[in-house]
Amino acid sequence: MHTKKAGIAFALVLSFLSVFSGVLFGAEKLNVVATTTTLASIAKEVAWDRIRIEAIASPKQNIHHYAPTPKDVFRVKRADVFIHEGLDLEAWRQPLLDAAGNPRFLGEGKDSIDVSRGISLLEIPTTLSRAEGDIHAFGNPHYIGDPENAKIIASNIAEGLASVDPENAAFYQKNASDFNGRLDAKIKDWKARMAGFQGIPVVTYHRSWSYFVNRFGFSVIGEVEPKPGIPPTAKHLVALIQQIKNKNAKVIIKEYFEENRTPKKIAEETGIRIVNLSQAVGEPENAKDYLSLMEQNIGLLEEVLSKQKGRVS
Amino acid sequence: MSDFFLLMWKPLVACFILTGIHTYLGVHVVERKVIFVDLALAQIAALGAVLAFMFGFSLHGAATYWFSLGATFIGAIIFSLTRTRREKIPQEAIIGIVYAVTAAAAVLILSRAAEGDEEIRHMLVGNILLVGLNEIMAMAILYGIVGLFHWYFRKTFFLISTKPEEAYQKGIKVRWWDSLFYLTFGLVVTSSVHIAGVLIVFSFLIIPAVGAILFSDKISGRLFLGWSFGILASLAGIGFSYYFDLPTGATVVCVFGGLLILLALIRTLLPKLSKQ
Repeated sequence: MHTKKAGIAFALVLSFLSVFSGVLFGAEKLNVVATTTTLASIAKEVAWDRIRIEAIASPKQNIHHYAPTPKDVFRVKRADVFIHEGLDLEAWRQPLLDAAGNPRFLGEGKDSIDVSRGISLLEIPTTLSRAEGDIHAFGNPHYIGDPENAKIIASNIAEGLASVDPENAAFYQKNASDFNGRLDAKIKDWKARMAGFQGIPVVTYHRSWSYFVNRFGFSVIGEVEPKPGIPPTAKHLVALIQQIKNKNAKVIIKEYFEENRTPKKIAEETGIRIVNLSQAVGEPENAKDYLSLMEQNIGLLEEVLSKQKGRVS
Repeated sequence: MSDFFLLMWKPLVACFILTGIHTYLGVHVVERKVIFVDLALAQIAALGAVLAFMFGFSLHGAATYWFSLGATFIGAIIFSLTRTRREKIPQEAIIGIVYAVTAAAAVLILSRAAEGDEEIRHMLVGNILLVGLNEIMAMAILYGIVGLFHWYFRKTFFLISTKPEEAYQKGIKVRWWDSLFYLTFGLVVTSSVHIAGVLIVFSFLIIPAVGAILFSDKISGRLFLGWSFGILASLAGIGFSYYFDLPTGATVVCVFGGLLILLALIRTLLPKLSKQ
């Protein structure tokens, strides 16, 4: 009898200790800050609960122009690792890092992870002039729209976390390759579902879908913006509408935060369909991680394009 | 609390420096009844920046700053020339015209450039939260020099602002001193707008001065009250922005406005409180 009681007490103490140590170890978790919700989601796939991860920019706004708040400065100041998309995607990144003054991310600071390393960039400009629109001096920074690039991102995050936290290196690497495996299976599925729409003419709002349409084989015949970041002008719209009629374009791909008035006007004139896609986890709310985000994008396109296909034009 | 100062000391110091020079200039501006002159000057500065940008300079570089400053000086001279002794056209009308036309010109030029809308918004709101130490030092030195200059000639400057007729009778070259006033004023506004944005600069200039006028008729009393108002409102604004995680510049402006309403209420509820 006594031994049984002692056994129960021992088990209780043990479970208490394990919970307690969990709390203790919890306090030692790496504090990781990512610039976007999508990066935070991929980092979570790589590190599970071994890091504490927070995203800065809201998924509901244009990522180029987020305005950091005091809490963001505080987060970066206290962070152990800073994950960003590199290039000039986050126009506010350097001022934020300067204001936070965290030596781990300044100058020679090695604890920030630039996930764009190793990605083949599109649209690298040959001349640099703002007259040509958005100055993406290093190339188009919206590479996260291609799920193949998400694999490179996951590997970069695993490598970066491993160098800060070598004890868990194997754990991070394994999770990254697990994630990449799941992604491979999904990419196969997505490509199969999009296979019937190869070469289909589409219009995008901003040049933020170049990587996505490249992967799935659509052909972009024009943008709603005359040049990246420049609002549509009357002359440009007339030309675009003509172009859509000539080439029988099926769909305008835009992001939620981009205005609806111009696309609607084009749709009224041409019968083209508008579809809202997203590259930010959390917009819409049921896009809880990268996989479900892309699944939604593909699902929406599939729905709209199969309806359009049946339409006699 | 220590976190608060650790994180917010730079915006706080920047707000204190802005309070120092702008409250002083605000007392002048309200006295001269040219309330919107800083909005117009800020807009001229913005137009200068846009012009520099047209010539291929980066929108936030040193060359652009000099372009803005040059444009502002031209504006300053226009404003000092249009303040005539017996005015038929009120100066506020000229200020309004300059504001509208320069703003439209900037929109025209920026419509050809990427992210033009964003640049215009940035000029309005600025980003005081992310202000750098270099910018704070530059502000402190520049405004220190302007402040000393104004302190040294304080009698003349206040005479031409409050009693221009008396200044004319005393044989003071009012045009010349007006130009000096607007040149130094333009220098300060261009630099402040560069860092803090048009809205903050306008609020720091006008709101503490108006709050002080409610309670005092003397220049020294107004300055003292205005400075206290500005320091208090800056602290409260930055505190709110920190504790509720709100955009810093807009919060500070709203707190300035809120505090002014509070002061106006106190003034009406205590009618016996006679002006000194």
